[in-house]
Amino acid sequence: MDQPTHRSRELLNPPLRGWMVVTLLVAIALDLIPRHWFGWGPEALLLTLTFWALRAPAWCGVGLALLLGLAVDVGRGAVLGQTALAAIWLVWGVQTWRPRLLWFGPWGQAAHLVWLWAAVLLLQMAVRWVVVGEIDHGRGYWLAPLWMALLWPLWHGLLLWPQRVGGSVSPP
Amino acid sequence: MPKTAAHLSFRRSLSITHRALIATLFVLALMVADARFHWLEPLRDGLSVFVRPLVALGQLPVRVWEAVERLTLDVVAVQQENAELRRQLHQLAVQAWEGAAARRDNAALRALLGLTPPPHTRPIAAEVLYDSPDPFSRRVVIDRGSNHGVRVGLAVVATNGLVGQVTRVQPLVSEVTLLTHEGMRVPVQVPRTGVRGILWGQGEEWLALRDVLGEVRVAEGDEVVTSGLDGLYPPGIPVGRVVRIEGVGVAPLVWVAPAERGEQWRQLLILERLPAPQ
Repeated sequence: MDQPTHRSRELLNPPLRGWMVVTLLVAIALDLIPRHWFGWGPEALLLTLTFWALRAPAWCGVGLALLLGLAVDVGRGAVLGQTALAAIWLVWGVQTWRPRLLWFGPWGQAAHLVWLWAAVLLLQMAVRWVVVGEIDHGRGYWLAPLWMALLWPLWHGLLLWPQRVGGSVSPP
Repeated sequence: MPKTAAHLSFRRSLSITHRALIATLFVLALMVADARFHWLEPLRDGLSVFVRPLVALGQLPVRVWEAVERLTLDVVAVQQENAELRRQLHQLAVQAWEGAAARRDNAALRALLGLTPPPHTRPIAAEVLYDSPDPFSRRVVIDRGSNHGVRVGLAVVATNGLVGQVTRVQPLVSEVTLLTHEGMRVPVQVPRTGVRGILWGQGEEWLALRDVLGEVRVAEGDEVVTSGLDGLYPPGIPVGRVVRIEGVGVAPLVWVAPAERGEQWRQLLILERLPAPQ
């Protein structure tokens, strides 16, 4: 599988479906941690969906985003569909932007993605405002994209780890 | 071979934009059906069976934290707290005797006047399991459900006053929406002047008194209690204190600081208002 990044000369195995399932389930569990202790943190499911939409676009599409978003909504006891909505447009954004994003390293990607994450959270809040009629949100809601941007290089490295071969190719 | 044929044909699937738009329509329909019409509770209950293991996994850090807290228990602090609680218990016992005497007098006088006896309440003690991870709501989940007699709409109180209302009930747990949740409404009264109105949750730690009946005779520092006019909340539970009045004339905005912050308690009391005994 070709990795159209200009700087990575790393050999990568194809993505593993089992690893994708495990990481997405763990991400949902992370999203279900009660947040009383530390205010509002990163959205783990959105972070993980971003990775898989970027690295395995054939597996991680709109349908998967819808399903997992609904799972988070059920687990949180939130309005059914609010997280799913954010997840759907996140996957859309990542896949549309994918050819450009893959040219950047993790920090460059984070600098792009922070706007996408902020946009889908804004969309989520706006749709909630129109449909449910409530605009109040947690104190750290707008910090979530920043958290996610700071975590992205680490998360990206962690999720990519099983695909690493260890060797490198010389440029043609 | 068929795979190759399909691959070579120019069959096109929907573009991701179309798929996202279709999924959005579906999600919008879900949100409206859930938030506006509450049609999806059975679906939610069904799906929750699959999500429950993940919920348990997500609560693992909290359980670990609680275990660590128990291990590092400070015995001296607990003894001090115990002594303080015992002092409070004695004071409350005296107040309870006075209250019982007043209730007897009240019942006798009401009987003399031929009035119906006042409603009374049945308390259900509950413990907070966790607060909702949903960023948009101010809710906690408690360890009492329909098996223990909890119903939707019951008032939830703590030491200083009203905390919120039961908004979703399952057999073993239920969900309490806190007063400050945007859109929560409580019929209240200002005992000093008798003014009645409706408090609206405003998020964070504020409540706004709106829809005041009659002339607005409210001043800063006034106590606000439940009026009991809804038939759900028992009357006279402290709700908060007026801190600011914005605007003048017919419809000023009265800001109320809640008497009780629901997030800080582990133990809560659910109050069921029972009809007056005949």
